[in-house]
Amino acid sequence: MNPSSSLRDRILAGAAKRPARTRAQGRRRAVVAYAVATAGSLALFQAWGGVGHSAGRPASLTFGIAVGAVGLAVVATSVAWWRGRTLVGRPASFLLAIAALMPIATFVWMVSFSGRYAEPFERVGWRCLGMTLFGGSLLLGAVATLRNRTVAVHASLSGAALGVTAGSWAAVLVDLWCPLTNAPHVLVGHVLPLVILAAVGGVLGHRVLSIRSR
Amino acid sequence: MDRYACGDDTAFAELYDLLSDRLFAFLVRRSGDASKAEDLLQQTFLQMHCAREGYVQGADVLPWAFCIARRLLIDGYRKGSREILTGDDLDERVADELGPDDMLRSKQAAQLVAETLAALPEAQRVAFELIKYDGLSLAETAEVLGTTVTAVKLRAHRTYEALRAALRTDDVLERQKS
Repeated sequence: MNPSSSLRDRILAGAAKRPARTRAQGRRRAVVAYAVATAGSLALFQAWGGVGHSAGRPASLTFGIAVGAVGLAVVATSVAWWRGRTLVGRPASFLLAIAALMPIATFVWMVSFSGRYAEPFERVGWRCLGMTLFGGSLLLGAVATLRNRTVAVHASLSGAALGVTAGSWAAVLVDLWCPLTNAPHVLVGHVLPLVILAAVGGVLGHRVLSIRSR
Repeated sequence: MDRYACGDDTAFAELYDLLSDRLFAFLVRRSGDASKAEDLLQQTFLQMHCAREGYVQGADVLPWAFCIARRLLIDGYRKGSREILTGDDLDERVADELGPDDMLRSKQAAQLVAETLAALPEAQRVAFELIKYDGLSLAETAEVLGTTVTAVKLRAHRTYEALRAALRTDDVLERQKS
């Protein structure tokens, strides 16, 4: 059984009527969206004192922590953001692993530096939480806009993994800014925002990223 | 698809000619309704058209197309219309040249296969159908279902086992009757 010949004409006419961006146009749009998101995060980072805010901690430790955070973000990006040579995305188990393990890995990495220096002050971590949520939300918003209605399988899991990945990039700046690595602070200021972004990403994945019948 | 993603609009017709028959057969079997399948096929191609900017150079289009079609089917199912597996395609496989007894036996076997498949978990049934009925490779099936090749092999193996057990039981009952 084959589709009717009139259907072919209808589909081609429908596509001709609805302009769609080419790959080059899509790339330019992605560059602009990610640049805006990064600029927003950097603006808040600078407004709140930049690297100078973590002056109470040895600079070598600050940059060491940030390099580790970049490594974690790169791993998350390579699985959740970059789809490889497929249009469908990663298997569910990979996405789940990223969404679940990134907050744990972040906690273990940061707390491993606790006690190696005298922390300059005590904070619960609300500003770290806010900064990570702000930067992560900008990136997550950018990717949700770019991938609107394009995820065909495991949309919620994809969204959760993208949320955690966005948060892990935002966390790089926060790690440069925040001089604290004690466990209670890391849980509230650095791990909780990743969990929140994963949950928000999961909802966005279902509502925004998932392909729906028109 | 690569040409189409780069802006060559004429390539869309070629893409349609390459994919439409297989996608349509899949949609008819899953929806059990040719007119609904046509509607879903139209939506599938329009989704591909709208998402062409995200095409990755050199990526396989077939699993993506099946994946979109399946998502639209599931979405339609959730919105109230039923996704069903019809036995028509199985009946078509019964050879015309068989005698009446063989024909009856084949139809009964086809019915049994359809019933056994319908009773299986969706993940197993869909994996089996994509491989056997739609001719997708294990890797393509894994992409469509968003899982690993190992998981697809396992699901297909379990389906074969279930079918084998059902046919064996049926055979024993038949012999007992005769």
